[in-house]
Amino acid sequence: MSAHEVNYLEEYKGKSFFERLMGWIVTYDHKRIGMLYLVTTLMSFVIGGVFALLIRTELWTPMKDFFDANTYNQIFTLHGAIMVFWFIIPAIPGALGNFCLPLMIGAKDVAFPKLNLFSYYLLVIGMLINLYGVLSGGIDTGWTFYTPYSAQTSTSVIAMVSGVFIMGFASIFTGLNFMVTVHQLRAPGMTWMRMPLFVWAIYSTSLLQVVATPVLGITLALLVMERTLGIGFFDPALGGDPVLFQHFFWFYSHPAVYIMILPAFGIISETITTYARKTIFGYNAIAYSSIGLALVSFFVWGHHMFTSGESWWANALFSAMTMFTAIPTAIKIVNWTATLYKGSIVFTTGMLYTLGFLLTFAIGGLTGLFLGSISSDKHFHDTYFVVAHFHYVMVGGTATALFAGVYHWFPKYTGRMYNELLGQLSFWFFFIGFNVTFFTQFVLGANGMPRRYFSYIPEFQDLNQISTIGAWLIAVGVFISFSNLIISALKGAKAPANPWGSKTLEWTDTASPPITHNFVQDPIVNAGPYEYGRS
Amino acid sequence: MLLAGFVAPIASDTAQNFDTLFNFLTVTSIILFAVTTAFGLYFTIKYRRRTENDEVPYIDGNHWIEWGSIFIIAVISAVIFVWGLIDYRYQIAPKMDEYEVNVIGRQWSWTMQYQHGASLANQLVLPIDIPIKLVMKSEDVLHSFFIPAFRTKQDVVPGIFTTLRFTPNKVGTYNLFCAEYCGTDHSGMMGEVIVLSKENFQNWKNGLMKIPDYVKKAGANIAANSSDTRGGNNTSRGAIDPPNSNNTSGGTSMIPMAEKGKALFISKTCSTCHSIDGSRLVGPTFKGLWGSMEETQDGSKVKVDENYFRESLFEPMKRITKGYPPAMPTFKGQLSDDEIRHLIAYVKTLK
Repeated sequence: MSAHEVNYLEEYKGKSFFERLMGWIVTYDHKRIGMLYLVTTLMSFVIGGVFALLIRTELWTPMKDFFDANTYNQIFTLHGAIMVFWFIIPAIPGALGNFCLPLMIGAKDVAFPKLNLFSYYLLVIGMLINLYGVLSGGIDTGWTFYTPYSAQTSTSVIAMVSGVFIMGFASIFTGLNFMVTVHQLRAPGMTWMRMPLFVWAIYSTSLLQVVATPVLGITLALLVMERTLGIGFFDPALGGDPVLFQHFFWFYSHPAVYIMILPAFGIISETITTYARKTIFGYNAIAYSSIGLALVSFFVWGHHMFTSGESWWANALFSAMTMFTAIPTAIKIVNWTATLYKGSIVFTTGMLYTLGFLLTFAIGGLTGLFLGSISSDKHFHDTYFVVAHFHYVMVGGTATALFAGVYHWFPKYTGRMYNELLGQLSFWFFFIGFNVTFFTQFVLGANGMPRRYFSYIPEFQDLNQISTIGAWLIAVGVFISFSNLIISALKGAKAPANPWGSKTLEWTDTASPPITHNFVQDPIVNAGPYEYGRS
Repeated sequence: MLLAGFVAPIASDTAQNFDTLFNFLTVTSIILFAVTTAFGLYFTIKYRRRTENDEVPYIDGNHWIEWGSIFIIAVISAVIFVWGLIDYRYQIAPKMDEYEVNVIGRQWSWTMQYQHGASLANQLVLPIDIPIKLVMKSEDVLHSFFIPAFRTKQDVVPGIFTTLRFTPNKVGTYNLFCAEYCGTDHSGMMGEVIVLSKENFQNWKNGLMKIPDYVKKAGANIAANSSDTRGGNNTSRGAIDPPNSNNTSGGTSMIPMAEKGKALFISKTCSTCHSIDGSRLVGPTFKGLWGSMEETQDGSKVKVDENYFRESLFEPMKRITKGYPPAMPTFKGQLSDDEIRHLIAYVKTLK
């Protein structure tokens, strides 16, 4: 057996411990780097989740239950910052994108394997700098770092934003790498319109990462200059404008919302076709609506600022553009639902998470209408309604899709099958817990409970307690899920090359797990990615 | 309708408008969600896998469904956009005979300054059925003035004045929250909005009536609750008089803001260059100045409002009225925010 035919996990089998270790930490193999990202981001999810549980547990009563207001403020900041910068942004492109993208287009690796490893280490360095920040004073600004508070607080703002700045470069380089890979390394016959929709989604995401992330970097650099050199970009006492920071911040962070959700759309298109054994309904509509969303997302940032004192016509313009995003979003939901029509649907764990995604993401999308309209946003802004809305999109959407993807590609990653029963059990805990936690928060927010509140009026207590119970149900679901994945990765039954009967290259043209160089024979593509029902 | 009577009552014109739109949004969303979910549910049950070799058709799209759903969602979003815009334009539009109160936000309390000189901590006393205009500014970081019963809020920003308008239409006491995160005691930056009948409001203003007992009780509750929760550094509520604010009555012996402004107008020598009778001195007259549109030297127009007034004091060379020399000195560092509010109150009286 030649070295080329050994699967990527066993490449260093029989070598010394040191060689095996180096085989992981200085690997250029996109599959191993994907695995590094997967472990890193899922660990981040657990850390961010622990902070979420601390928040929800403290909110059991309006009183001080476990820690004081300053600690609480640090905890919700870390929850937000870790979930956004350590988990949601890098998770799908870093873990699933790295692993699947080259396989799906029939490439041997990404275009720049060394840059790929470098990106991963930038993420890790950013995390370590953040960790230093946590140990050297913490941070209490909220993940949005709004000035002037962030310019005045005595906590470690500089360490936190420097970490985020560096992680931003990880994101930019990953985006660049994937864009070049898609342009240059597609297998013969893999035309743009034969690419799996996951590849389209990652491509749109990469576009956003490359174009939007530098703005965040500049904004955070300005904030650091303000804190260290006393240059008044944002401080009104020095002639600056505190609202300017919000414009800069959301000019990145709104596109970033699509950096988080577009890859999730890609996963859903893969899982729903596989588990319904149907070709995708409206391939072009889904592909183009991803690109459309990516473009529109640059012109809606002002909808985070309807109450900031923007001029009325700026508000009107941003509201109109925001409403426009409803169209591509709705198209996707319609197309995925229509894909189920006359399919042959099997309810694996991956499919359950996919169907859960459709429900929760629809609620997340529809409640976006409540916030996109200016006059209703004047009430909802900065309340738990907003908190509930973006958790429906980010957790009910992105995280749910990520889990669908992790279960879907788990056999390909590890060469082993997960435990189906535990997988399904984890879904029900997660799904029910999620809705209990966050649907309650729509009601809280509509009744006026502001976000980032350590204490609240006694009338809100019952709903807060329901929400806290939900959070613990999610924790049970995640615990079952991760135990299942870890145990199955070590002891699961051997997986066949294509356990789901999927039609994309990573299933049809290579083993589970794939060999180091991906394909024994370079694939030649002569059909679309979802040719179910065609002989 | 869907929210009334739970925690946040409907107590203003803005709240009524909001609730109509909210009901429409909720019903529309429920219908859209029910329709897609019904299809999804029906398909997943009907087309569940029966054998490994189920026959499936090859359906790669349908233009009627794509364009039909685009059309439906486009119409619905357009309606919501226009509806929200109309409500919002109504909300921010100046009304006839507005009653103006200044609001100052700081970590972590609110101060309400009345034109007649009263100053309240964390309590905003208002008359019913009179359009209210709040002119707000922060002394430190961002805050947001949020009254759930009125379904509206506005950020309170350092360096600029922001405005919030509504007309209370129900007597009662309502929660006031800070909605923009502002540091340690953000959630303790609570207060009350007390809407009184017109006579009671006049009585309060004239010092004939203290804030009614039921209000004091509510205030004490919140204060007690918040000191339980956070211990120590919470701000005092209405029931507990801070030494320098007359918290329980409107008072009669207070000096109105405009009078304080008039004294400043003289002591800061504004009167050397600005007349109050319409005659031309070095700078523009203050008579009839407030709210007018002025042409600046580069030909653009600017409305004389709180923000332009403040800018002219601090950065007088930025936008000079056309036809006048650049003679105005800067008052940066020489005038406090309070003094500027007093001057504004005075200039507003010069009609």
